[in-house]
Amino acid sequence: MALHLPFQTIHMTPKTKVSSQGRTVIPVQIRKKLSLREGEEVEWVLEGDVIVVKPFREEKTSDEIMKYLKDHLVEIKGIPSKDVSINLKKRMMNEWARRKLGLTQ
Amino acid sequence: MGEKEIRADAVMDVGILAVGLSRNPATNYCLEVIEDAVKGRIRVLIPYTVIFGAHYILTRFYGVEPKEANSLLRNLLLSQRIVWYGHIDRSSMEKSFENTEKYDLDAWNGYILHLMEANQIKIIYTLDVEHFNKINWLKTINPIPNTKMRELRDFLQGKG
Repeated sequence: MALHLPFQTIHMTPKTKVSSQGRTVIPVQIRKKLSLREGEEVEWVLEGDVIVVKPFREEKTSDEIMKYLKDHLVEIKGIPSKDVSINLKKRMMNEWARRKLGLTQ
Repeated sequence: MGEKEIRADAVMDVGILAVGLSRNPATNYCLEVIEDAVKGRIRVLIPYTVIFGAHYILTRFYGVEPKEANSLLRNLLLSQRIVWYGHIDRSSMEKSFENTEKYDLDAWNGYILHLMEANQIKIIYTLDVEHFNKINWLKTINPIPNTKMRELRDFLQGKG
């Protein structure tokens, strides 16, 4: 996913200023379109006199993905009752979760 | 239709993810299936709706903070071996509804079943064997042995 989309696709030609330190803002419409979140990195590529800015989305190997999952298994704490105030909703939702966890047999 | 041809051998259901990504007596059995999928040893299709379901169980049933659940699931979503599927249109809704009537399933399961039918996928990894066992043309695999299932039930019921 690159930011050099044809402008007719995003229906705009946004302009932003570059600060003395070289900082600039990625227009909100583009951030939304590419689902760019705060803290994400972007890659800057120069193609002739065109700057291409691409979200830097991490690619991991299967081993890296599995290592992360195994190292970050979550602890089951149980649901605090205050989180679901309506008993019927609680009962129905828990029923779905119970079934999906094989607890109804 | 906008649907691409899908090649997958099996579908993975919510429970496998929820149990495999949390600490409990059956973690390893489900984590092994997840690892097989991530490493491409089995070609597994996971509809994005299943990821929402796993998120729901992790946060609302297990009491995990959304940030923690997001981080785990985002990491899983990086897998390029898993066949991720997000297409839902009016026709697939209709087929899913038909399955709810035909097999007395909820709509989520009706949708999974529709995906399996449409793409000739005959295996589902699930803990919800009670419902998927009603369909005779598919093979339901619960990777957790019965004794461990009992242990898991006791463990989870103790947390509820």
